[in-house]
Amino acid sequence: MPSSNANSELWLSKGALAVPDHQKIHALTVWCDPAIWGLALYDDQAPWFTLIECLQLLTFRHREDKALFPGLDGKPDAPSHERQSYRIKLNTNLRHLLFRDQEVGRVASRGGANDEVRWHQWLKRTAEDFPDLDFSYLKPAFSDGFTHFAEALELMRSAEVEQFGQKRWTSRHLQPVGEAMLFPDVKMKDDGFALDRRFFQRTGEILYLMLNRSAERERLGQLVASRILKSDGPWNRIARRLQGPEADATTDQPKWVEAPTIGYLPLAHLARYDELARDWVSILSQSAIPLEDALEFLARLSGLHQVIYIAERAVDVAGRASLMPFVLEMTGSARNNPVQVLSAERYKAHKMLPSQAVEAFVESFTDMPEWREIGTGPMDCSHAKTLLSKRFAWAPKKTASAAGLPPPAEQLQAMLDAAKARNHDIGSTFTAHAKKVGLLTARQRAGTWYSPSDGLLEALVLANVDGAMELGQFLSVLRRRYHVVVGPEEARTRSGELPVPLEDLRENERRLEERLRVLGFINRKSDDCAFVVNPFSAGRAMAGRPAHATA
Amino acid sequence: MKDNPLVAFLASYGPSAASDSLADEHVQTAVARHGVAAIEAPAPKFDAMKEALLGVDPCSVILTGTAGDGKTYHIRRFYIDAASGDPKQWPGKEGVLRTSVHGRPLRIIRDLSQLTDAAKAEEIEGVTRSLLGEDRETLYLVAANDGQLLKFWRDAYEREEQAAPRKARYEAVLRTLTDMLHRDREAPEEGKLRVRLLNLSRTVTGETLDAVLDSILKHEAWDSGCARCPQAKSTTNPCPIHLNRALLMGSGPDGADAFRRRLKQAIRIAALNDQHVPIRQILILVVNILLGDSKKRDHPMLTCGEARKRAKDLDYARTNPFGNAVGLNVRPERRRALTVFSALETFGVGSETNTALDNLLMDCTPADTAAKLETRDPIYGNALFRQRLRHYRDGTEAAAGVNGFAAALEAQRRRLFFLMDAPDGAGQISPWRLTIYHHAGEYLAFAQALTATPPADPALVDTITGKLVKGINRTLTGMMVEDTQRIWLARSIGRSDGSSGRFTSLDPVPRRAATPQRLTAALDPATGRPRLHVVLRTPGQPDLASAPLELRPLLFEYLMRVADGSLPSSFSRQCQQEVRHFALAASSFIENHFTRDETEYLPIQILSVGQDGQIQSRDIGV
Repeated sequence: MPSSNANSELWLSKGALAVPDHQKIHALTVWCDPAIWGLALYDDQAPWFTLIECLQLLTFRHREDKALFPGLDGKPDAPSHERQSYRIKLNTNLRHLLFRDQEVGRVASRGGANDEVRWHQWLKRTAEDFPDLDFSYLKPAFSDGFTHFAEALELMRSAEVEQFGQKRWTSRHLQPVGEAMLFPDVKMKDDGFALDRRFFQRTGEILYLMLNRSAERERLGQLVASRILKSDGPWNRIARRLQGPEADATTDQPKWVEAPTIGYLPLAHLARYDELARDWVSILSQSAIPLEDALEFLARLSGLHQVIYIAERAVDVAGRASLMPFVLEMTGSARNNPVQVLSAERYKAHKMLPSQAVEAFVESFTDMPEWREIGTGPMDCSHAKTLLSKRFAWAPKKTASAAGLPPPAEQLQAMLDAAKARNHDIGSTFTAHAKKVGLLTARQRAGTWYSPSDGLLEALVLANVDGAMELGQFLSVLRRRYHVVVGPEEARTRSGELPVPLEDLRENERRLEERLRVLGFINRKSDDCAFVVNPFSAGRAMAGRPAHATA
Repeated sequence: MKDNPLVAFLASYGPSAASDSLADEHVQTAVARHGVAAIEAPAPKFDAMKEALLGVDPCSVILTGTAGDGKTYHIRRFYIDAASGDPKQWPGKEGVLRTSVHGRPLRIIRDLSQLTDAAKAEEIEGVTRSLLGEDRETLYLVAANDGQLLKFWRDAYEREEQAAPRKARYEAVLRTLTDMLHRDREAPEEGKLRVRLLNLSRTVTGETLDAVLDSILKHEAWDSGCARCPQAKSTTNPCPIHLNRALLMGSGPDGADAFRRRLKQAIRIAALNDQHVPIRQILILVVNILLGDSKKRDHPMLTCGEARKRAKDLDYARTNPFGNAVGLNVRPERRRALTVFSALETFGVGSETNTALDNLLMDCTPADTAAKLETRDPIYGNALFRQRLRHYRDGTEAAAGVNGFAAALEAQRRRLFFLMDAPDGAGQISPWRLTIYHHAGEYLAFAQALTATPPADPALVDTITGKLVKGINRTLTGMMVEDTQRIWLARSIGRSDGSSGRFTSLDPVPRRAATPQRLTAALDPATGRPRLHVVLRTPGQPDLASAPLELRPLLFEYLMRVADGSLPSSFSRQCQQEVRHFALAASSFIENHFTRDETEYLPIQILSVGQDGQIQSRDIGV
């Protein structure tokens, strides 16, 4: 059945862009989550991996001299989905040294042996174990000795991100502080590598698409280029030195893998894209924040915005009025804590949202004559199957039943059940990413609720505070931009009611201040006024010379 | 026997809940009731107000400060003394009092929080016009807590529709006022707003404290009111109120004013730690030291009659001024609600100690130091303690409990803290060793030395800066290094592997050298706090400075202790964060100013500690 333009037959959520022809959707269980949220927000793709994937795309565009964020395809009045492809350098030598080699440390720690012997031992051993790899370039590159080479490697290893869990060596990654520190997510295949996307399932491409559709994409493009893509810091240079000749491999050499398509993001414009881009602009325009730290904040904030996107989008598609705010509980303790109870309830409610959205999405189809006109005869059952396959890429499990196909309603229900019970569904992404970015905390017996990590608090302060901002104002910004509620002022409903006693919310706000203070972000002026401060606000020119050397 | 009306009058300033409402308005009724002269509170910003409102090019004045700082008092004095307002009109029924100065209309808003929402909405536009210079005729004199003040404009800003012209104007005012408050600026940057922002919480100087103390201690009614009281002249059973007053005045047997000086220092330390103590709280403190009594918790103030009784019974343990100074005569929940006592409580006076100081108390060694204290105060020391110590050593007195020996020993430690002389420089026998701020003496000396340019005591500044540098280096590298002459801006790449820095891309920043960038210590003119920053000197151009490391007493203490080899866990985390932020901001500052040339690469230097404890670096970059 799949024709060349089968994608045009897919059922779309309201206002969504048509799915590009070349978008591969055959591997999907069912076209529900991707139709609503995009292809794909993947639960196992942790925030750093999302950022790295996004930077791979940007790095390629930068190298090829393409506009970083050209916006949607098509004409302004008839926009169409972006069509892009990109290539990623395999970077195998460096990756082997970092994540597969076990010999460098061993050889370096061996006392007594002279440098020449060490090089010889290591090169010989490596040539035996991995005949395809050639590391003869390293000795001249590290003419100051094997130990220095080992030290550089050791230091570089300290830059690994998302170190949890056992991963194959071709799925491990460094902080992306330079183009030489990027690797694709591949598997070894025959004599080469294939882009199998074990972890990189286009969540980073979705991030790219969101940024590409934001209002501030031009300004952002300049900042990304100047601060990230053009930076050739000391880390990148060590990485290049360890890479050897691969450092200068051009894209036509077989040292690259090709990503022929990118992900699908349904809606052309959303306020959430703009908020996301605003945080990128805010972080990147603060030159006092070192790049390594800036990237971590971007990873977190991007993940946070994607989590909010999942919830907002669900509310929208499910046709509900508005998103109930994330109530952040500040102590991280569940004992006798009404704020924690409320926060846990909110989480439960949010977690229900995706399946409500999926139901509404499918309902938007079944309300159509196309489906309503189907009867219950044998032909109808077969027609229903074809229709569900066309609209939702849905193929039921083969049944050996002689009775033939089940009636259409049953087929539909089976599809809905499969959409909701799918592994790695969007609800799982919501939870996994909310935890990873530090929004959600889970404790045995106590439950799961919104309680921010220090890292998230830090990112929120640095993205939103320019110089200093009064605490009350900061809380109001968090409410407006992230649906986040901490204290009584923001918790009040429209009718003026408080969901939990005032004193508990006040205490919650005090805890936030205390946590920010310990993080070095609070300047309390009086019992009535505290400022949230951004310590990276630039140093100022001093009037005259009031400072004197301490000599 | 006639009671001194001053005692009853002062008691109304005491730590009872009623004194919370003892704002300027109520003082005058109290004066009338007791028939004694009012306590002359200082008005440190009065001249600045006059200068702004009555000058050649007058502008509006906003007074901010914590409750109890004397905002209303300042305004009333201005209204009556400077604007020749009619005292009968004061304070007026409405929230806004209209008058004029030099022919210009002046609108006085005595307390912004008292205005109704409707009245606020009515005033906001007028104040904004005056501040933005759109209305150069009308002047405003506004008092508000700083939080309320910002909220006034924030609410107005949030009320306006997006893109409404007023929204941008309110935002401009809000931004500038926020910046001024945050940076402790009285005047806005050139041309931004026509206003003086006078923050009474930033002005409690030694002189202000002295003025408050003297207004009570040197009150005329002490002489006249006690003339006919037999206890006043007694040497065997002296009146505890007189006794406490003499100790605080420094008019005791040896004439030393250690008590008063130590109090002032402690309040200063608290303020530099952002625990500002308002003037009204200072009044509470002084009155409580004089009249505090711990016999009945619900009556923490002595009357003349009770004072005579304590004297006759030699029950001086109840009136101990050193316990009163930290509010022990007041119920704990009440004590914690009072800023002054909660600020002093953080010092830990009574529980903090060391062996040398406990030996001084228990064994009177060194003898001359112990003897000196007894001369200074013969009532609250040995007289209360020796016998209990003997019983304790005999085993007839329990250590624990409310009245146990431990409590008596703590009382002696408090007395020691407030009475003993501070030695020159550091040492175990120092009053500050009885607090968590072991190095407060050095801190104050350091700040004092930095008030002059060049520093008054270069040797002291040099030694202390060296120790601070060592503390910073140890914090950043996580190694027990000894460098005191230069800061290594060490960092790590993965933020997950703790705060220890293994490498740096920058050369160390020296304290003194011919290099253009160097580390300097200076005093923040607004807060009086010492701070460190990296200063970049380019000939013919003004100096540039990185974001400073604000040396609050707590951070100073942390760095000094780290330099001495210990890690004070209770306040480490915050201090580490502050040092880390400073180092990151300083690194970026240097990089942004020095590596303009894009071909110039930053090295990566791996750090290690050498035999001599100095940091060594090895470049592994290209």
